[in-house]
Amino acid sequence: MANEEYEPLIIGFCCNWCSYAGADLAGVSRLQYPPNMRIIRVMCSGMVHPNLVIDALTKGADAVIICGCHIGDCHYLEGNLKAENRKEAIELMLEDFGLEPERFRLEWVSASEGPRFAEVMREFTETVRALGPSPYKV
Amino acid sequence: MLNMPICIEADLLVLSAAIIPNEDVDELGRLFKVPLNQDKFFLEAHMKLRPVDFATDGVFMCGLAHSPKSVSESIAQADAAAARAATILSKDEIELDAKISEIIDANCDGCAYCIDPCPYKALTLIEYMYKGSIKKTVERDAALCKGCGVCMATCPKKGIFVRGFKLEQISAMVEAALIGE
Repeated sequence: MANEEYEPLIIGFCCNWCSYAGADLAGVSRLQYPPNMRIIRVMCSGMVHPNLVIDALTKGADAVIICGCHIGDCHYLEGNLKAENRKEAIELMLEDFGLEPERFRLEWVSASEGPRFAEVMREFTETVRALGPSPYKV
Repeated sequence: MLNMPICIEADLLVLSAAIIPNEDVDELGRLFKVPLNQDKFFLEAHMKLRPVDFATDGVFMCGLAHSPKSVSESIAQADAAAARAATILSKDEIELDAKISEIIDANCDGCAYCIDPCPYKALTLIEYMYKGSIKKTVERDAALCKGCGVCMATCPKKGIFVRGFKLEQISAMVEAALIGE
């Protein structure tokens, strides 16, 4: 595969209360960021089962990002802490599947942080582009 | 917004005194199970759609606990909070949110992994007799559950899900996003 043709495909799980609203704000503020992420709305970052992350990565996604509220701001009190606790488990699973840990990321983006959302996406897309396509990609 | 320094020539510069949150708000927040923002002011359920509500039902806020504001704004917000409280107090029954967790009894083996992580203490382990033997399962209190889905992501056996956000539904969204390429 020619590298200049490679466009990373990123699955992003955004929590309904902060990050999804942050993405919305980035949109209405007309901020430019790469179009590589497909956002999937979940109610809370703590709702994302580790299997969903692994499934996405083994079925053709080049990377997965989970975005939630900042620690302490969670709409459900501590869902994002649960997500953070699972991060290590997910990274161990990635290792077992032979995937680079950089293909998964957990970020906190609040509803007021449109520019930060755009920045995170820009930076993550570049990281994933540098990594190259996922070994599971057909 | 302009991304550049601007200079305004003024005859008089008036700075308002700083308003800082109470020192013990963390404890108060924990007591009522309501969140604070980064600046330690209380965080409303939605800035525009539910400005005086908390995510926790039946708790409302107004005034400086929310953010620095003028007295007239505080009074307006207090009116709103009182009105919101009256909408609950005036009812004999209240409807619950539909987006809450649901247990699949056939999949649940009562391992109880979901019970501790639940932020609202909505789950309890129960036992009942089924075909002559003891079957363990969990029970969800519909009035306490807020549908955060921490239980769903914790469960190793697909024994609990959040209505509208089943693992299969989220997987289908992921697959649809991947197929499009």
